[in-house]
Amino acid sequence: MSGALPPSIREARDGIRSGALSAVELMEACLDAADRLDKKLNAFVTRVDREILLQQAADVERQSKAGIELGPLAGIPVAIKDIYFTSDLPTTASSKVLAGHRTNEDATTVTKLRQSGALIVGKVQTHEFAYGPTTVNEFAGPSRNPWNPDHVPGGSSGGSAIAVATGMCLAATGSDTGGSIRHPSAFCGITGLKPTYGLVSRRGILSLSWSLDHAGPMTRTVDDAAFMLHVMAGFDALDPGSIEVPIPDYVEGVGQAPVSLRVGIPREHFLDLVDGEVRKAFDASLRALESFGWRIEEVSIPNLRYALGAELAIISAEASSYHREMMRVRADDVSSDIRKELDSGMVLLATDYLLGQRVRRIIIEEFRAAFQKVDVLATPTIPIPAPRIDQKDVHIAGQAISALNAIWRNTYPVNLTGSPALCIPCGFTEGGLPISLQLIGHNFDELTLLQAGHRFQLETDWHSRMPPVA
Amino acid sequence: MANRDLNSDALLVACDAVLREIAGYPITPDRLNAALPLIREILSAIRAMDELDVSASEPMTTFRPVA
Repeated sequence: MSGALPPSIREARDGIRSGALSAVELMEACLDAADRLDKKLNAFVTRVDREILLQQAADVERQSKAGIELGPLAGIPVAIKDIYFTSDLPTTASSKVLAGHRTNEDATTVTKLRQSGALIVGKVQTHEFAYGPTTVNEFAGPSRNPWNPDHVPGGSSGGSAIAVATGMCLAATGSDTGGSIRHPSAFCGITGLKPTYGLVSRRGILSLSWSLDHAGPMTRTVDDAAFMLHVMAGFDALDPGSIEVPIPDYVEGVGQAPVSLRVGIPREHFLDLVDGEVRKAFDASLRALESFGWRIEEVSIPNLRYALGAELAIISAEASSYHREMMRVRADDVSSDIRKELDSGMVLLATDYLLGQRVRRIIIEEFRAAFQKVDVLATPTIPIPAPRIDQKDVHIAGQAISALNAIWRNTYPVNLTGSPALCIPCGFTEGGLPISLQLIGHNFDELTLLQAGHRFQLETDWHSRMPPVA
Repeated sequence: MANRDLNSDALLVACDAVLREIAGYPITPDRLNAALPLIREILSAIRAMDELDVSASEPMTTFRPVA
């Protein structure tokens, strides 16, 4: 199956149930892709033994033939970001500090995935401690973009995106504190969903910033994301941020596209600094949305220029608090870029942390006001294509800007608001790097986002291309 | 008002004092020097928020989005 497009989760589910698709052959194809490409791209931290996975896949086939009811993800190969606890595999956060670290328990979401029949193929790389947007690590080495290995895959969930993009698995888990599901999804040409804060349990996932962390799925298509979200979502009393809300049937509902939809384009911030090719692809995406009969209109979120200060105050203080004891004893084992981040957060004033939380409330109210007028917001996911691994600055409209600052510019505001955000491929640069569209929704209205994104993917084929390396 | 021109020497001394005397988190001068550009960048973004009137805004200390 080298270079061939893997089946969607829906196709795999139906095929395994009908006998038209062998779960063993599906697993073999994923394992072969990992054998072929992982050394070059550095997606995995730990892989599950091949024989164990083929045995598990054979068990799924036997159960199907015996008429035993299968879970919604039975036989689907899934990779787990290496900050999710797994009872049978180390959880290292791609850090020397946690090398070989075992939790002996599963994160709530991992338990749910196992119960759904998903077959966990291994743990995938993250930017160390999920604290960065590139997955270029000192200890674990750089992970590489499958569309051009000289470029970053994005982060922090970089391993997840590489594994999905190259067919090493059909889906992966990610986490997102300033954009860490959306950056790698965008740079690697796949679909990523940051659900509403509180919809998916964070229990058993190493934290970066308690009030900004979100867990969610990364998949090839929006339809696949619906399958993953359906399993991952749900109240968890063991997560202090979890919220009990009705969970719709995302799998059944994703195909019901809205007849009318009001799409808001924020006047401020999101389009201020955008690379020319990204802007062109974004404008073409808006024309596609309009062609569905959906209405495009401008909205205002006037104080977005203060969102960076709020995000930095909160993420820096919370991350440094979370890692404080570790930094007292193991700071020398932490990569230099992460050490700088964690040391920096230690000098912030409590009043500045609270200032960030006060500004956050203002921005949330402004998003709420915007959502009185529209159903979704549309923005470029990232204003630039994936930079080279060694690239420090990018130039947009003649202005030099740090690549790291450019990468998360359009994603962090939505971590402050907790809103759901879906990113989907919407084009390629002339150099062959993916470009991505971000759709932001009402809190807990993931279904509308999924329906809108799925409709877009029915009319476009950006999500159906395989990287040349695969 | 926002003061984005932070004096490097004064900032270094202040950070050292905060970490050593207040936080109980002493770090080597090398480490502090390495972190200083980032500290300056973060503080600059934070101080920009001083322009905004937050007097009517209660902090989101327990963050829960509204459905």
